[in-house]
Amino acid sequence: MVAADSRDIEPENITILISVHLYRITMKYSVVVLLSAGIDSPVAAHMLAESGAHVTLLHMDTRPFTDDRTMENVRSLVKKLREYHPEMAGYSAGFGEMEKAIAQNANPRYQCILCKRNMYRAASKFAIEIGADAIATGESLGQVASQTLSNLVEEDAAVDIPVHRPLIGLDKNDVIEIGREIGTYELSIQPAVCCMLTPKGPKLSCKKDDVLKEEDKLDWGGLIEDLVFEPIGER
Amino acid sequence: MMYHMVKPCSDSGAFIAEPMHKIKLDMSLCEQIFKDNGYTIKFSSKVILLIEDTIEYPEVGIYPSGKLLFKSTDHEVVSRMFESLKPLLKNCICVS
Repeated sequence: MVAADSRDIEPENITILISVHLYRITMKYSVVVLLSAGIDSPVAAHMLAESGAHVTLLHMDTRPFTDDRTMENVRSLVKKLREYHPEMAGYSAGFGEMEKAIAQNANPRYQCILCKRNMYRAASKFAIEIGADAIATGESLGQVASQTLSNLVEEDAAVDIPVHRPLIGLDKNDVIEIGREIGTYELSIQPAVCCMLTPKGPKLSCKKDDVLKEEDKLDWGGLIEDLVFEPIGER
Repeated sequence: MMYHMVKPCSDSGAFIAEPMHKIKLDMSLCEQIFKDNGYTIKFSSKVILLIEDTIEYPEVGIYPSGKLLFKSTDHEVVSRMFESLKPLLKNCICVS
């Protein structure tokens, strides 16, 4: 973002600009950003923090369906983001048991949407614990199966807390460009195992009743209740 | 049983071996066969069987389509492990 030269600003606009800056400084809007080891979510976290929000990062650790390198990449990303936003804390929670429960009980085509709904629930629980106002993700429209408009609607429906998506309308190349500028892109593309449970033919458009029917096959409430949120240490 | 080995993308931390012809594995039988042959079953479901051999070899995901996902970027190690899995996989096929 290029700041306007103060000499170009009309006097009547100065009050507005000061108000905007004061708002950014004083507002206490707090957001939990779901951080993967990918390209998008670190950019989303950075953008929200740049806009003045107090960001706390939360990584859902899906081992054994990813690997240790994923966690290493997440640690590096947290460290990099903290160079810009030293107050930004990072946490992780084991999500492997939830992934197992979905894989063992639900129709495989619903794996991604059920995974996302429960990640939102986990983030919502964490947000309530730390007093945050909202959760946020790095999702943009239509990029993968879980990010079609109808699936996003069903994912939002899992939680009562607002879900922000600062990248929703951005082109992937624009996100990559921002990632390169802030130095997260190179960390995001380090070798790691992508989720091993992604089905061949995931549901692109889910009906609410079908989602609930599949979700009823697992004790998601108990699994969310058991989650432990641990600080991500820097190495 | 013919397979081809691919690395899904340059930043992937895994190798994938895919059957060249369509097959279907019996996942329950698969679990039993690998267990009987000393492999540790890390997770078993109708969509994936996650096995581990020794610390020398990476974890492997076995899918009903016969696809194998090796959690390693070391082609030599993956190839060695693949050769040791092949005879067992043959016995897991229910449709070929």
